[in-house]
Amino acid sequence: MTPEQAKRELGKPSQFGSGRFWMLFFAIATFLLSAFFLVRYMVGGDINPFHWDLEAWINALSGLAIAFALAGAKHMALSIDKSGITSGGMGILIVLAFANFGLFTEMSQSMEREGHTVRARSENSPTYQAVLKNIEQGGKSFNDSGVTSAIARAEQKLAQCEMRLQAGKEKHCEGDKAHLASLHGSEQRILNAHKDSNSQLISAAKDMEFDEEQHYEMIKFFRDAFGIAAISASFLFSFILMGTFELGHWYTGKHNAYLRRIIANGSPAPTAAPISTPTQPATDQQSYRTQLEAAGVPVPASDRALDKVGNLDFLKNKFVEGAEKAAEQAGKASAELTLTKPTMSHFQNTQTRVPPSVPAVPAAVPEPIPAIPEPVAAPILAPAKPLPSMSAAELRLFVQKKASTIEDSRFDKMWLELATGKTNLSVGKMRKHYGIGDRIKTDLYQLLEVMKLIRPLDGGAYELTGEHTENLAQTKLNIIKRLAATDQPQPELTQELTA
Amino acid sequence: MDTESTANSAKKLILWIVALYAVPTYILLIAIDASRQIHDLNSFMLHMPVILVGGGLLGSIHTAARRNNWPLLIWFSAVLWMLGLWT
Repeated sequence: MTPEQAKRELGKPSQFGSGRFWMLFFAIATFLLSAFFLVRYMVGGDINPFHWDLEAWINALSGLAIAFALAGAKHMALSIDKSGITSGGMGILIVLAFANFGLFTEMSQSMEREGHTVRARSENSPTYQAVLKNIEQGGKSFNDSGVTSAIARAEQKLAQCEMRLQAGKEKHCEGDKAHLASLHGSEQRILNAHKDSNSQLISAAKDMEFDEEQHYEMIKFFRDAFGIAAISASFLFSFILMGTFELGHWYTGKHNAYLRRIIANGSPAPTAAPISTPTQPATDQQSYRTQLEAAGVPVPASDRALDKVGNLDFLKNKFVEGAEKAAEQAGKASAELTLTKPTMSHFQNTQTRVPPSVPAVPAAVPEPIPAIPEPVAAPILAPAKPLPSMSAAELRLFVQKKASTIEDSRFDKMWLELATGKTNLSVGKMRKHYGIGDRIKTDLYQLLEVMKLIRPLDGGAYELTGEHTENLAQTKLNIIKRLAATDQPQPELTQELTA
Repeated sequence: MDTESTANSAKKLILWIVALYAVPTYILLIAIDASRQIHDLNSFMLHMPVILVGGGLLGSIHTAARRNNWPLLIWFSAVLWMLGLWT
């Protein structure tokens, strides 16, 4: 697919292509489905807006706002290029959270519809209608049974008998009384039987109001195949239906991202290079890995620290400066430089320090590497602050002020390692490694500077100066130790120092 | 034209036939059927989602056909049929 075809298919915001159209359709559908469920759920009861009171309106509007926010968030999450937000664990979690909410509301809506359909089908079934008719007829048949009129006649006969008894025309009325009692018994039995029959019919009608046999065939199939309740089968069916709807939404978003990549890169590959790059981005906008790879340095793929963005300009000082000397010695062109010993520039502050594994890499590089190109945008670094030049007396006093640091048990080791370039630790790491505080660190670096073993660079870094032999480092260490040990002027030592 | 390109063209033709078959399925079995069941606001809220979900599935079928994604095309079509028979 060419970028032009992709543009046509994706469409413009003002002029929909199928890509944008379907994504918008999905977003609106998600909103409506969620809104139908939420409004019904939050309002409860009557869903006719003309019958709502203030509380119902507030609930309904809250439901609409929630549906709008969540549908919008889901749409945005699914519209973003898959190489972006969804590449990380948190991104996937966000998308799943929004998609799950949509899925839940849509499934609820779908299950409610199924329930409504089953109820409507059940109520319209001939069996249910016949049962309703029977209940109505049961009431009528009781009224016409004749027991009530027979009781009335028996009561009338008993009353006449009692009048004749008072007149002395009858000996007793026991027969009429027994007949009336018998009729009352019959009436009670008929009433009980009617009640039983009616309650059975009502119970049957109640069962038939929601006849599970009226479910959609596929739901009945799930119910029988998996031996689950009809409501669980309905849940499963809704899950398949709405899960597929969500899958379609995600897939359309993915397809649009694919189209956008073709438009931007001319290729669907997420990492495809731009078609034309007028200028390289500034070095401090590239990852360590990119900068090292551009310089031809092999870098380990597993080292995630190299993926950080930062400036490796100081590495150039570190590797290239030493390499230049070696190249000069070997008579090589300065374009291809061999790495030799490191300089002090790796003693960076934390803002620009190199990841721990980086300095070890060049030592294992047997091949010459090309010079690292100059960055387009130079990083903004704090300017170097060299110590002011001192007279012999000032120098002696300066060293003597640092006596406590010089007498520290760790001082000799740190001095020798730094002065010979053996350590590759940054200033911050030096502090952690040797467990020294700010004062000792500052004293150490200042003493190394006044001894002209290191010099400060912009950005708080240092580099080695002159020779870095162990003899020289040891000699200068001995001098400052002797200076620190006495408060008397030591002209021969200071002379040696300033020489 | 070689055999491989002929087979590819035939595959693409079948794919588009399957995809286009979804349109009458949606119209006849879903959109019209669900619309006929809408009488008031309550029934609108019950049956409108089916029309929307069907439309979404139609869009998904279109996208799957554009990407020549057979498994998804068949799945979306099957679910569209299931939805059509449900209404």
